[in-house]
Amino acid sequence: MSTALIIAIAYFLILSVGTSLVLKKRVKSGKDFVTGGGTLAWPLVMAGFVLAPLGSGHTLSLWEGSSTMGASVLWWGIMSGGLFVPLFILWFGPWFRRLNVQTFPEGMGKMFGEKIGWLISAVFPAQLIGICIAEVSATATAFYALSGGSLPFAPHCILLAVVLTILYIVAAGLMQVAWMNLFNAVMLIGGSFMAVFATGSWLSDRGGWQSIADFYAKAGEPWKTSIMNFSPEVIFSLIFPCLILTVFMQSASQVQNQPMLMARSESDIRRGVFWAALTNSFAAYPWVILALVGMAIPTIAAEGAKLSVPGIALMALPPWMVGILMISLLAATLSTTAGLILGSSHIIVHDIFKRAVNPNMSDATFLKLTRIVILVCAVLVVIPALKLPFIFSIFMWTFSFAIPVFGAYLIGMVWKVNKVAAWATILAGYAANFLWTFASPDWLPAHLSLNVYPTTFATLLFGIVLNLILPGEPGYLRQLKAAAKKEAVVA
Amino acid sequence: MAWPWKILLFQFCVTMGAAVVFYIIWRLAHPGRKW
Repeated sequence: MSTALIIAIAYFLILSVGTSLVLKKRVKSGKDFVTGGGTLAWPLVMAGFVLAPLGSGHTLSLWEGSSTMGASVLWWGIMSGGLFVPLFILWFGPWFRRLNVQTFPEGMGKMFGEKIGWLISAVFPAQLIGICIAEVSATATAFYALSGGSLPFAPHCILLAVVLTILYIVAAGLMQVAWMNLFNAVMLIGGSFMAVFATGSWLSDRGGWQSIADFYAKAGEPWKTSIMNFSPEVIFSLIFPCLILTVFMQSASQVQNQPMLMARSESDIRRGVFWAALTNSFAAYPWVILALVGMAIPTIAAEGAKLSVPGIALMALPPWMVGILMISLLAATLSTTAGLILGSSHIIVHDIFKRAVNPNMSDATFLKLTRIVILVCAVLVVIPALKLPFIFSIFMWTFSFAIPVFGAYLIGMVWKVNKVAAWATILAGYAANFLWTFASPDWLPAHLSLNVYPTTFATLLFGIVLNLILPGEPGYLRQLKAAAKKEAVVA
Repeated sequence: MAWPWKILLFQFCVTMGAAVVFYIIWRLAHPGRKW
């Protein structure tokens, strides 16, 4: 087994077991397990929130994308950190908390009626598990490639990824995620930037970054080292999808909203905004730069873009530093898979088993059942991860299920609550998503054939037009404000 | 320099600039509320 792999596994085992032993006693109920007890201060809330959307999308996908789009793929990090993070932390996150619910489907049910909540609680776990399969494949790829192939990809690397994911959450749930994410956020940024500086030092004897820029210029691709390359491919397959997927998809995700429950106050959500924005944006940089360096070396480029970062790391860095880089990459992907499995289990137990099947479920049963469902979800993730190749369109299909839900939610929160309009918006968005995924028109250029576009279009069209035509109750935020005022007058 | 620090500086400025704009909007929209 390689040194890098031993360092990475040892780090995660020590961190998981250590946090489990310390935090298990602090989790006294099932509610504590899934909400973190609602007592945590802003650094933990920020850490719990910020690593959730930072998975393979910010690392592996971007370094692969840089082989065709160059350094401009960093706009993904900029859009996500500078736009999605502030919008969520300052507005969407506190709104979810004000709903006084545990899950996003429960919140939708509160606004638009129970039945819509049932629909979403049935769809969302499948959606989250679909994304989780892709993240587990990415984690296994990190194990396999950065250890120089010393461990077989399937089943060893996949099973290792899933076992470490379970250890991330099973002892103390959301509180454990928050504490582990705090350490992992430091390792993610610190470790990956250390690798960039060490690669820079290795490169300084070989002409420095200028030699990389010269290589791409000679190859007729000088734009690859510029962040200001706004080709149609960059705009339509990176910037706009990032805008839609982060703002519309992630804002409706249980994985993003769950950390809002562990904050002791709304202020503790807001206070981490600048750190979260910076971490989210900067997390993308090292992987893209390392990939651009790797793809400028012919022997590494010959292995393909996916292996460019492992290739340059194994060539330029000492084994212990490759281990740190592996920890850094796993900090991103494992935190996301852990959040996805915890979020799915929470929805399945809270919304389906408890609210729909057994409303009188005891707290002890809730806790036990949540842990069992975590294991079941892990098995549901392992089987397809072992059997199926990664299919990008399926990944986008599962991602897009949240778009119409968030569209209906946003309209309901700030503008108008109308059940018919909400149902029609969600069903129209789902229909567009199915149609474009399984029967997408072949006359469109590749970058316009993404299913996020028709799904967003259907959401906006039905959401806006129907709410303009149909009457409804005032937006839910105004309803909450009016209820609070009424309560204050009575008191 | 052996690594592209100008790209990182640009990324920092745009991200934090956007975050500051949202912070100001929030402050203006919520006068008197505790940060």
